[in-house]
Amino acid sequence: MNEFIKQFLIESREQIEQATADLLALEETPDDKARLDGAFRAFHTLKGGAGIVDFTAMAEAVHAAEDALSDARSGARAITTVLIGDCLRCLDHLAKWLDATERAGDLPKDAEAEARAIVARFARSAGETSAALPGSRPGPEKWAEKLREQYATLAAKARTAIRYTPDADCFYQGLDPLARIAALPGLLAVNIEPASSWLPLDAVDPFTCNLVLFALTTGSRSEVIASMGEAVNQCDIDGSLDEKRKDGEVLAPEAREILAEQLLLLGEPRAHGAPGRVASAGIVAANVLRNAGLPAAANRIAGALETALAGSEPRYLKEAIETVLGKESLPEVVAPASPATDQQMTRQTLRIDAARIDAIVNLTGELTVAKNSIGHVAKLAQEGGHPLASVLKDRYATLDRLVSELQRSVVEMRVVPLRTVFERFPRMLRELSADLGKPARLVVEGGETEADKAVVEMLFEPLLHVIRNALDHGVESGSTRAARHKPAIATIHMRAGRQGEHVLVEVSDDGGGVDVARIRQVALDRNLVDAAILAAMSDDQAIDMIFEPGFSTAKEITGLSGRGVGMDAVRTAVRRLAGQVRVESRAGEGTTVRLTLPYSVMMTRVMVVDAGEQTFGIPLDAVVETLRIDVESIAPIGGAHAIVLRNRTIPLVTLAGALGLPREERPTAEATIVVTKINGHHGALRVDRIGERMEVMLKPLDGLLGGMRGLAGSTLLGDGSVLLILDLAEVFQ
Amino acid sequence: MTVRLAQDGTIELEGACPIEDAEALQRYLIADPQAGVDWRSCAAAHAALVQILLAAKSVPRGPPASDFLRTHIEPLLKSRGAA
Repeated sequence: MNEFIKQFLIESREQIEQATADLLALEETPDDKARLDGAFRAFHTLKGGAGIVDFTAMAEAVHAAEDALSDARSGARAITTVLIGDCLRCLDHLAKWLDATERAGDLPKDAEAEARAIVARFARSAGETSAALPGSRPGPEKWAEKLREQYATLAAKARTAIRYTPDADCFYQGLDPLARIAALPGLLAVNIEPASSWLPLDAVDPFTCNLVLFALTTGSRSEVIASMGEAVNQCDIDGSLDEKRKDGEVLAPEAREILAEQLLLLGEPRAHGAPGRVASAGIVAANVLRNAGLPAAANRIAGALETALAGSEPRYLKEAIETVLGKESLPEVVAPASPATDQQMTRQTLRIDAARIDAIVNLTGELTVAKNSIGHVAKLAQEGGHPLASVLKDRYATLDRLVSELQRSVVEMRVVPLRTVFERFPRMLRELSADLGKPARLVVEGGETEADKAVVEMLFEPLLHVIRNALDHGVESGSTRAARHKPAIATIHMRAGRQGEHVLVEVSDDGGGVDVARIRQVALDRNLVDAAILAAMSDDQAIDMIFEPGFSTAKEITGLSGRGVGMDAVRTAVRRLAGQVRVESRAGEGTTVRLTLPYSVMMTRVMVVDAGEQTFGIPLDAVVETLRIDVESIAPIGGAHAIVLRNRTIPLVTLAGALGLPREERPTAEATIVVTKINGHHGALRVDRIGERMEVMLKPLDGLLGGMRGLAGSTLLGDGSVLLILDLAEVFQ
Repeated sequence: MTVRLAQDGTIELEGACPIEDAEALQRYLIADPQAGVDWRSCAAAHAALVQILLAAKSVPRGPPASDFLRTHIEPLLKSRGAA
């Protein structure tokens, strides 16, 4: 790939991040001029870049967004969720194209068609000021009103208005948008507009669809949805006339859609977690109706939910929701693809602060001097008669200092701010919160905290699980929050900070806290733990069980929020980085998940120990103290052993035994013990000998050793031998 | 062929006109922008053809043979056409 394109990819991704942040902020405070200007500038820069590398399709798409934002700056266009959503979707496409370009060197083939669709979308939403920002009630849409004015006489009979913007490449897919419109039940009127204004005839591509089709029908909204089939994704359907006529009350199209989704959920084949699914569908439906100002209907749903749950018969709930929707069973609505959550592709480029490079250049200079001085020592040794040892020692000290500095500098080069991963979450939360129907905002602090690139990149997935969990299980439903006098919009805090050699990342919500009783119950139900052991567990220990594989709180219902994602995935990912994760819960006040991660995955301080005639390294972080104790004071407890240290019983593991190594059978009067603390639990490790402490470059194990329990990695020692570093959490399990 | 050039230079649409006809229709219209289009025997037209007619601001000689085209599309072409 040529240098130009490489640079373009790096810069474009930065601009996309910038634009996303600005757009999301703008959505919160639509009159923030600075954010609007920022987003505009980012799109402008993106367009310039696309022009330079000759990515015409991308330039076109970005140009449309830039124009829209430019109109917003001049006041010609209102800043609506639709506008911001369109801009964000445009950025999604860009990110996808950039990834494809990185793989293949050029834009994907379908980029042109997609770009045209983006342009059409902006053209379509131009001049509209509907779909207002949260707070105002969504009324009938502008285009629909216009359509009804246009066909005033027919409109009196119309129940539903449709606006259908087919994909630009739909002709290639063998689709005939006109046939779809012709097939609509009760068709009253049809209008066709160009998606972007007509080109001269000889410039028109006959196989690219540049049409927006409008229709008025006497069919109901659900009939229209059924008739449009999968094309419903490209349709805006306004059935507000229909609903007004039927109920005398307005149920916003969004609300109807949410209800329809609950029906779909209920219609799914009975899978595991079905009661949870039914409960969730019922609660969501009731909330929607309550928010729409229809408390009576909400109560009917709540009643039906109870009946349904009592008899394990989701049918009752389904029927109740159908009744609210006007006894129409709705066909399957294909959910629009959720935006790229799989931007997990690790990027190979790093942008490095020039000052850090300068530091390394200086160090190389000093290293050269040190090397020369060793040459000098060699010469002295040849001549003989000098106190060689002291000179050598002196030079070694210098070299040692320089090499450590070099090492640190190189590690620093791999350091990136956590912001790079945090920035993706406000967007994610926006989608999640919409999916789950729980309004929430994300407050990010400490994004400037730095950590090794590998740590930062690995953080995305665990944090995503944690945030999903917070919103899905932590944050209460609207009605519960109201009853608890909490603000309707939940707040999720994401904080990061440096603590010594560690980076702390915290995610806390202001939800209901972890339901410990429920966790105990689930653990029992799933046979994860013995009843007696469970009874003896403190609440903290019980909460810790959510990290166990197989423990996934039963409400894995929402379908939209990543089913079956347990917290064990979080712990696995964090452990892989030699980190730790803890949960703190305050009943009724919220939950905090705290990840402790190493600042750098490369450098680890270890203590060397001998066991079973082999040498191992123990991460020094985990070591509390070392001591020698009388063998007699080791007490057998069942099949295991323990020692008592300062009135505290600590389980003891003999390292050689735990690793399956031959044990030294020579009877000794004293035992050498390393006391460790992992995940808050103390443990004693009996070793044969304790050696030196050192700083090593930890290399993760791969190949044959990769799957071995109890080992975290390896490093090379000065004499060329390999030192295996232990994973104490696994040793003690 | 469902789209063809009659001897008098008129472009005739006949039967159910599939997407492939759009290109031919465009070609004929570019070659002779003044040529009339006759769709009296047209029973159905793919959106691609209607798109070409709209882009060319052409008002075909009608009425077409299908209710849908007659009721909904012909008036559109008339209102957008050469006016």
